[in-house]
Amino acid sequence: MPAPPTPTLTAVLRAALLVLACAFASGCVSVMPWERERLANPDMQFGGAEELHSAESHATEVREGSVGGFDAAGGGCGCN
Amino acid sequence: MRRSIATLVLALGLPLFGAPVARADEGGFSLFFRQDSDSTTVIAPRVSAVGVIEDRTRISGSYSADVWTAASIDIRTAATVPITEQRDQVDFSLSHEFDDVTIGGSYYYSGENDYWSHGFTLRSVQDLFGNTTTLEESVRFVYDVVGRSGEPDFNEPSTTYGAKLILTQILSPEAILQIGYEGMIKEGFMQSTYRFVGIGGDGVCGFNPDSQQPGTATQCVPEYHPDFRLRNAAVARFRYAFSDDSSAGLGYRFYIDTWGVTSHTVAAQIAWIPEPSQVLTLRYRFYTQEAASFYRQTYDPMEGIPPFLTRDRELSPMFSNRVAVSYQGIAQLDPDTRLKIALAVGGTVFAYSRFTGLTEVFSIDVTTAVTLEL
Repeated sequence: MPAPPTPTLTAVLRAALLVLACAFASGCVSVMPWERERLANPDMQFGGAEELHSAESHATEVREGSVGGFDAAGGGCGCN
Repeated sequence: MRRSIATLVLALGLPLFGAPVARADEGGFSLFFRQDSDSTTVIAPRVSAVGVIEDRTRISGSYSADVWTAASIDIRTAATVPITEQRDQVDFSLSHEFDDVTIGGSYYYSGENDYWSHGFTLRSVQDLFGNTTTLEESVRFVYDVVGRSGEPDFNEPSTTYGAKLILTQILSPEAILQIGYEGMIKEGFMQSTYRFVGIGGDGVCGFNPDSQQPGTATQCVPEYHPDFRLRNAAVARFRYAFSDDSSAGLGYRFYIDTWGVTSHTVAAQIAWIPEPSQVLTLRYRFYTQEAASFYRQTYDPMEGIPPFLTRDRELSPMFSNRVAVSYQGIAQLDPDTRLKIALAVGGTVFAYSRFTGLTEVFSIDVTTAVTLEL
């Protein structure tokens, strides 16, 4: 008999499914274009203001062992 | 005159696209400065331009330099003098909007005296369900060549293949959610060409900054990393507007790779809009990671030389806290021209729990940016 999934993995999968379900369910809730004015403001954007954050993101990212997921932060060896 | 400057910037930045350069719609300049307690200074200017052809095709280009002077832990350990180097990068991107689908591609080249990198990205964005849902897919290929200063024949390649999937969902007129996954496979040469790892003693080759004495390692061997790394990052980000002039945001990233590095990143922000054309943002970021499976603060000589070994602080257990504040403002110069001004100031503390010679690094950074929109 196969071993049951560990509680941790099960919890993570359930949480991921819940987030996906909420996201897609809300896709059925229509938000009219004229209701999206507030969402168009710069403070509601993900990854906006590249001119303000790209160099800092690069400098931070090269000092960590992780990469990806968020916005790309340039190339190079990251020796700085 | 302003349009001429922006057009010139665009023309200089986009020679690969040849003649069909439209009017420049945006031209900008930014300057980044960073100083840390690990004796590293970075100055990074960047110039960029964006052009739009018939409202549907967008072309952008940028040039940035990364000038850094360092006497960091690696350099102090090697007992060499502080060094100054420059990295140059150019970026080009082109995208076209087909009704509910936008397709685009981008390329960057990054070059310095001992590292060269070419990156290609293809990207597609679909607007779904009356534009309440956006699905973005991208694939990436990066080809790097690692060199060694003073040895022109030393060239070791590495390649990266990546794919990214991002779903952005409008939840309400005040709330928006984004979830995503990015996977990357990197193959090839991934260690430093300069670092040596000490076996035995205090684990330090060269000079030990802790004891202010020469390191007592009984044997020194070049750093050696696996030549394959599968990296996975899953992210979730959320923004909520409390009112017309305030909002908050939360973000989380879980990262895991085949080298054994696992990390958690939490980001939060609060934004205030004092005037319709101004935004003040306070950001906080926490990052923590576990070490790579082959990382040791000191390698035991009784166990022999392991197949992989490193003295890379980025692969040691560490955490960081960062706080930053930024201002973005827009001034309407005339009916067709807007000037965007941005300023950000931040500070970060990196803490290393098991890295000889370094326990904490404090850094401060300042970014200023000016963008002209036509």
